[in-house]
Amino acid sequence: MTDSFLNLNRRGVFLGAGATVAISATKAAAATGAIDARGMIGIYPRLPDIDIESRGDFLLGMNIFHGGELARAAQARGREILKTKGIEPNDSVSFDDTVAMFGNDPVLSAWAKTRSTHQYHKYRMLQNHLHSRADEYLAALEAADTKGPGAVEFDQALIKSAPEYTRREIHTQPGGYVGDPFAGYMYRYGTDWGVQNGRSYQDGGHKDMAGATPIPADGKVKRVLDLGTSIGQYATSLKLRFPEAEVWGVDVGAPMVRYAHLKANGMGLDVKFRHALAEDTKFPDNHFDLVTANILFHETTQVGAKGIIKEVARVLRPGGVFYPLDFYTSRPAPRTAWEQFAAFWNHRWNIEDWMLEYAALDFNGELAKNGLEVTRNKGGGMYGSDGSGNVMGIKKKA
Amino acid sequence: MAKIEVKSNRKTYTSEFTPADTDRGVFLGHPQIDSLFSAVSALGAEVWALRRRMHVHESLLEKHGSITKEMIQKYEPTEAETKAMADERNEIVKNIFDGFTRRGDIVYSSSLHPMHDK
Repeated sequence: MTDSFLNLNRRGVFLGAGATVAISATKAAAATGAIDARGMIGIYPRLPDIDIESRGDFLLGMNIFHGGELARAAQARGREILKTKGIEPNDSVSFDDTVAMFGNDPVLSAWAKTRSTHQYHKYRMLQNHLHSRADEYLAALEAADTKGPGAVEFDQALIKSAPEYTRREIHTQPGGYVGDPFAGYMYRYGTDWGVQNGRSYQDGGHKDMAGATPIPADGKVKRVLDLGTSIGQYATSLKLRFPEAEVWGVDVGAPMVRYAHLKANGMGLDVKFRHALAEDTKFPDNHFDLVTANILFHETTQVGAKGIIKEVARVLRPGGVFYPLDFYTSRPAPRTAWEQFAAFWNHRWNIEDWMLEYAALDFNGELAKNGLEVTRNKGGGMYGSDGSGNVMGIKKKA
Repeated sequence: MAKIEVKSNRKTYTSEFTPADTDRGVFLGHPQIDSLFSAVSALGAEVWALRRRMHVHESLLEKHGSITKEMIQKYEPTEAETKAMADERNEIVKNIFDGFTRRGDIVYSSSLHPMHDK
């Protein structure tokens, strides 16, 4: 890293749930393995080149247009089509019927195309940049691998044996979570320009989620496990809320937990990351007070999801809380034509391959089957709420 | 299964993966129209990158009289500048893509003029 990089003197401030942690720019820059000095935006270093940043900013604008004016035009067109069929906008329509009715309309197709194009350019631009300086970025990751606070564990056998369902290019990210060594970098900037529309830049949504995460009735939170931790944004936010707790993040993507550790380490946080299957975490029975899973289940098969819930019930201690946040943990599965069309694009063209399996899963039934008392947290979930709160499971006492 | 080649001898901790087929999707009726849409999007990003650089140049020249490449790279816009640039970006995006919010349904040669047959 360059001298100017190390001499940055601005300070990033991370506001956790009830906690304020000031970190040096150098540490925060190391948190994303930045290889050039362009200063900081809060806790993160800026991208290494103004033009990459600007192109990403344009794509962010494109995504805002997609979710705003273009979505309104597409919905209006959808209503016109439904009217010709005698269907009200709030009526239930099947997935297949929706695709047949909407699939060839130019405005609805443009809505789908815009988001797909956004995804394509975003990831290709990031991937091209990261690979053009691969050795430098890998050196930054390598330097953090054995450095504390915090730690990261890799499972060499899992790299070869991970189930095929975990090796898809979910949401069109090149190589998915397992195939590209810079998956963590791509996820981090990609989600910020995409689904979060700039909101995730300072882990904002994750801090809110950590603040709203329910805890066991006895108030004891000594060990926390975040499943499908991705780049550790929820895990680090939980650590900030529970600074005395031992916090673990688990993910099947080795490049993801590698980046997660680099980031948490740079923030000065003692969070441990393990490269493992969520359905086989290798932790002892009754070990955790709190288990979380943010947007994990819609990216698993039903077989995988059932295995994960079984594992949660095993590692959670009696009275411990399981708090899953996902598309349908706080609102019903798609029902109207517009919801079905959005689900179609996401499933087929955003490579959310397991979305329909997830939607069809009796999630609460699986929780109950595995000895978890199903109830609801008052707060809404990550993807909005139908007003009834977000699902949570409490492990029954023997 | 596919594998990504990396130009480095360092450890990558990567696995083989199942490649997606999204680049084969035809959304707009003809593959070349899809390609044009993609090209317009890429050009839009390039135009915005140049516009953003121009803003930075102008701001720096106004403040300092002369500029260096490093100053451009490290320039941090004020909150007001960030807001103004976001508004300008959204306007450019709208100008580029607004046509896609509308659906033409008259084949031009099928209509001589709305009043023609009256």
